[in-house]
Amino acid sequence: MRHSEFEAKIDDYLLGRLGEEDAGRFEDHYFNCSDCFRLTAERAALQAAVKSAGPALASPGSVEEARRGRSQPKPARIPFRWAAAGAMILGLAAIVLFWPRPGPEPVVLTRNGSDVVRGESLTLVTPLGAIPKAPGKFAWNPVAGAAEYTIVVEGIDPTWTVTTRDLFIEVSGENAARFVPGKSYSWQVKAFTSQGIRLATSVKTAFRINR
Amino acid sequence: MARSPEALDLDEIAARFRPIIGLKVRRALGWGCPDWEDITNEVLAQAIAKIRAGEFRGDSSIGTFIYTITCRRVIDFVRDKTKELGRFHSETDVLPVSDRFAKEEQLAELTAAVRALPPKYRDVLDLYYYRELSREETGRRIGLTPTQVSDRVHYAQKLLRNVLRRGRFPFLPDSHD
Repeated sequence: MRHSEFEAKIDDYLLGRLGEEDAGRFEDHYFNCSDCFRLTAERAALQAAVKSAGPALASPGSVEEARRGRSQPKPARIPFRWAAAGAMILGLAAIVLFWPRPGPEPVVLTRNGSDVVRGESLTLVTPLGAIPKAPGKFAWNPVAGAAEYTIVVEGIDPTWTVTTRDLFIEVSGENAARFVPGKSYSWQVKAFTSQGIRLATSVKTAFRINR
Repeated sequence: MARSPEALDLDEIAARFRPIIGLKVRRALGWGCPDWEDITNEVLAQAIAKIRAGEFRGDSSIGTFIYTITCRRVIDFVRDKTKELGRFHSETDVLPVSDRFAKEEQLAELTAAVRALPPKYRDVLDLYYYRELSREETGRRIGLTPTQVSDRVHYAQKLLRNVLRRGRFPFLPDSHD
């Protein structure tokens, strides 16, 4: 394994995204190469520090600002009376939507200011075990307080990662064609709050498409 | 590059491979597994005993030889303690926080250094390491290509290198250059 190839895989290794064979080659390399081991160890320490820093690490609003995009066109000017009418409608809608109402108690998420306390467990619904054909969708059970789920499917190249607010993702025909009969795949789902705090992580679960 | 068994300095081997074995063991058993240090010591003791007994003939490199011993020991441990390991399964991709990791103040120093990074690095680290999104998804959210995401992580590591090397984390080598 070349150094550049090794370096590109450090994060995937530390985050458990490498397949067994790749992880073995990666480990054999750092057992024999002090420089690459040092890089890996430093990266592991950096990851630990980021976890320790907690969800407040990102600059406020940065992701949303970036998501809006630099190339978005400037909004057209709207006559004042239309703008005033629109603002009034929006104001009324906001009052209706955000008026306080009784709901479930918020989940306690942190301990000692930084230590993340996990929420309830996250269970996967489908696909599991041996299945007759490529999965049409991936589904899981809801986690209370979760606003977003990230799904990682391993075994296909490159590893497939999707973030969604739903409790499933549909697999398009193009993506379904990437699953090969007779091969094993694994997948895992992580649940996050709207602030990006991880609430729960499912067990990594395997499935295999029958030949 | 295999060296002849006679030319091996066992003290040097122990010093060099302790952190390497430690990283492999922690990665395999889960970052929160408390037994990692005992297993690391067992692997080292076993490797040195095998070298002394002439079992390392220099057919492979010493690194591969010790790697093989480490893998076998990890498998044995998992087999013996499947029940206890159950609670680590869901943690295998989770890096540790607080005092399990190392001396708390060292981690705190590094954490403070991470918080002090310019926002463009912190934003990438937050999405990529804290939220564990892929390079592609991280890039999509903040308007970067996957390569630019990697570059920023790499540069953040470079900026923190002094703190990292001062910190002497359990799997960093003792020698500091």
